[in-house]
Amino acid sequence: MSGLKMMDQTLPPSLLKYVEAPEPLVEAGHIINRLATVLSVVEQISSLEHLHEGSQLNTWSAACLAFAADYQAQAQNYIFDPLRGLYEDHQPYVSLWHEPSDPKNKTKHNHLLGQLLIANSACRRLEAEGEHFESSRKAAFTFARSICKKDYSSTLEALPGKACSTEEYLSHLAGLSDTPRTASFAVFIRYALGLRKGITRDTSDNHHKHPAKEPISLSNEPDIDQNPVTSRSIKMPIHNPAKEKEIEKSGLSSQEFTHQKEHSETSYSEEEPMGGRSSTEHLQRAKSSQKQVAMSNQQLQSRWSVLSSFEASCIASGIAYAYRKSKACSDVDLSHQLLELASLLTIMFWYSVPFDEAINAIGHETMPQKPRERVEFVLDSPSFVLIKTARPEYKSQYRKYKCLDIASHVSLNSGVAIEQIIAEHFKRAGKRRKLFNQSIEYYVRLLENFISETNQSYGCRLTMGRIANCVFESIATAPGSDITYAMLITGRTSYLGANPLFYTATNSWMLNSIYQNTCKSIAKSARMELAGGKRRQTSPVKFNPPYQMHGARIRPTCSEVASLQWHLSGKIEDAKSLGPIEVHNAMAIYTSAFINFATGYRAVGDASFHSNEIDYDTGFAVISDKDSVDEYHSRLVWIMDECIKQIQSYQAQLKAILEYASLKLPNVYKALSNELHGSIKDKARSIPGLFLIEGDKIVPLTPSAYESHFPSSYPFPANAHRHFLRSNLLEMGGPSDVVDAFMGHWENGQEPWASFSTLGAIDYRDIIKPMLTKLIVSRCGWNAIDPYE
Amino acid sequence: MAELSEISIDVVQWRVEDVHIPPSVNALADLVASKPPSSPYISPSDLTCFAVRLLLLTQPIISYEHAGKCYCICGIRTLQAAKTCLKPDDLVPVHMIEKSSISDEQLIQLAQSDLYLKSFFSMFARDPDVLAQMYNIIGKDILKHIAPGHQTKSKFAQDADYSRQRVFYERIKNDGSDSSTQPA
Repeated sequence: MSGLKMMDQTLPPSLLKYVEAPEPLVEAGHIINRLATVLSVVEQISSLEHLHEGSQLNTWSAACLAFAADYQAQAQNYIFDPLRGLYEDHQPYVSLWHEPSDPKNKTKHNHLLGQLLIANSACRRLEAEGEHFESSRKAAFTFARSICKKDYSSTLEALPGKACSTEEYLSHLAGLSDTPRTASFAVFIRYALGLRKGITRDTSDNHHKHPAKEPISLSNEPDIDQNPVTSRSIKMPIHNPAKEKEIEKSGLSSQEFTHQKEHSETSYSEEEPMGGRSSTEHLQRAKSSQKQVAMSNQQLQSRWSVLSSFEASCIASGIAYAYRKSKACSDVDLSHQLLELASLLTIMFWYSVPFDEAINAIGHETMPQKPRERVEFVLDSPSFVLIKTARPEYKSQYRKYKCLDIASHVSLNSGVAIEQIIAEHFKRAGKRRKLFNQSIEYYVRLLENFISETNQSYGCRLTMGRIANCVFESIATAPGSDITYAMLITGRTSYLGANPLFYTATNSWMLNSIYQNTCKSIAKSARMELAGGKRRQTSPVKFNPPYQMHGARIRPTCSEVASLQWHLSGKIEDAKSLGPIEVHNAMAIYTSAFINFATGYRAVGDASFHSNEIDYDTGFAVISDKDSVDEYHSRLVWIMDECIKQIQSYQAQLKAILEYASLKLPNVYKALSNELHGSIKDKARSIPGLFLIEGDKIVPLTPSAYESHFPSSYPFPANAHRHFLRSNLLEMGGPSDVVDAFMGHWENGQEPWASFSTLGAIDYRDIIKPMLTKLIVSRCGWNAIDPYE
Repeated sequence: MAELSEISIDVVQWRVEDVHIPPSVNALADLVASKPPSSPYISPSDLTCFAVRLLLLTQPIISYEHAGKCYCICGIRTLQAAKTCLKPDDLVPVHMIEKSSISDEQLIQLAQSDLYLKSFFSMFARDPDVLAQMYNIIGKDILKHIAPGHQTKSKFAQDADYSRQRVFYERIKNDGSDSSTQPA
């Protein structure tokens, strides 16, 4: 061993550091000899690329050769692994000791080690700047050692046997059958290149084929047969642990493989919906089931699944490039293929349509009478696209009320002239009905090639799913927009927007405006260059879509709400000449309606506030309507001054009723006196806050009783005020998170008033106050009424 | 009218919620319970508990007991104030008349006289509609005993600072269905 000590002094310290040699050297005779060969490979690669270590390679090679010549005779055979204990801390050095069992693969292994040493050196430099690659390094060197075994000789054979650049070597690796070891090796090299991106999606084992769906029943009740709410969720995650690990090793997130449709599945049995239970029991059971569905959807969409602006830029530029290339290309077939690709990608990316629906797109020369397909292109001036919008699925009998005429398709024009691509394709394809008439496999191949090329060239992680998700997400998060608008514009479904969609109805002009703004924003941020020269980025002709309504079927207008206010306030005036009971009943109905319109109270019962639920100084109040036992959906609302005055006026009027009842209505007196004098400090109420008096009895003001007082000019259900509020507040520019907080629309992870939420109560009030006051007081005319003034 | 000296009175504490209005004076109770639409008016709910206690002292509730229940015949307005402002189980002093010393008819006359005297002797303005109702409920027989001058509608209205027309006939024009204000 003393000889080794003497010998290692002849090797340059920089080389020893480069190969991470141990002190003292072990098996130096064999390893240094091998190192000389590998360094020659490094030198060849260095000549192709300007490597950091290039200047020292000659010195290192010479030193190695001299060292190996002297040391050859001293090499020994060991019974045990001589490098035992060195694997962890001297991985490059140890890897040089391993050689493939098949001698003809030695050159290929040398090239592999050469690439690995270069990558390792680059990563070491990055680590000096604070990054960490320990696990990736370990996996890569393990791969380099294990590939020497007989079992992996076929993999080694597939690797390049001549010097090539690192990027070329990487593309060879991508072409190999995807095993975790190969993938981890590729990831390490990509880290070294500074790309730090995953490789392309595994197409041979597509996640859609994975046995992801394993439905579990949410009901723990023994009488499943009579369960009124049959809810099922899909067990998450959709991959087995081995697959997840594999995905993560390849640099991707397992969430990226998650398909939205696999999130949850809820169905309600239409046979015997109540199953003999009371409405309260039914509601509690439904709540319980919904809660479990929500728990199974804890994995909300992550930012990983949303394209970055760089990736959006890449895909937008890619589409533009394919389009330009198709115009410049002299080869007719290639030109047609490029145009078809650009057209398909335009529909997928700019209209957020998934691939399987985009390929079924059809074209028309003029506006069709009854559009049916998911995507229909209209070659008009300007061209536009009809997208089948999202619709809430009603289960209640809404037809007995006044319903909006909801259009099935929304007409969209991006305003950034991308329709010209589809128009060009439509014209060149002879204006045939079906825009894409090749086989699905053909388009899959076409897209995969494009995506693969783009990913390779720009270091993106584009997938078909992510491409089709970009605009949807952009619309959902755009200023003045909302996830329900994104659903209406793109026709896609979203778990988070499923409930709010029932309360959102808006017009086609609004939707098209939001869509155009989003497209312009993407185009601007992506610095899109659709075409140089004379072509313009914006559409030359202004697009005026037909005025249609989309979304929920119920939405009262301001004038209809004003007519309700006029009718109910008139009832109070009329009641003054009839007596205190009539005045009280009219006041109860008016106050209930005012509170509903001012706070969005759900029409499930008593809409009043208990003394400890309202702060008369600030106007803040707490509502817990249609809530679960844990009061998860309790929410903070701000009540406008006029409404507070009305509540106070109603409460003052209760005293008048007490005076009257003290002499005339013993039962009402007893209940009311206990409420006003006796148990006022208790949380539980002896009587509802808003009630009617019939005879000598106190009768709760139920939604059906409340609804029965609506005039014919307001033909809507008791909860129509929530439709009115959400639709109008959004159209008035209310931020969707504030509107959702006001309405009580949130799912797990979106809570506006949880411990770690960031929505401030004062900001919330400052935003909601001017909008609500304008809508409810100015436009609809709600005001406080004192019947004894 | 009964001989007042023959009526014996005892003061008993009753829970305010247990003091009732007898069916025989329901018409008077209606009159008290209906809030006048105009004119200066102090609502019982505007009073403090102290004020109510003071009322109970100066304008006591006079009741009789029948079948274990307490029925108020005088001080109906005080009872209303007590029921409005006090807790249902608060005890209030009630002047109890021995039921055997007075007939049912006399009880009604007592209630009517009480209401009339308290109304007319108060220093506040009165609502003409209420006056008209009161005149018709009480009737000339009672008035003959307690205020003979008010037997005629003209004098009755004049003492309340109204014209006979305003008290008794303008209401008929507004609400012809009300038979209680038919001219005598």
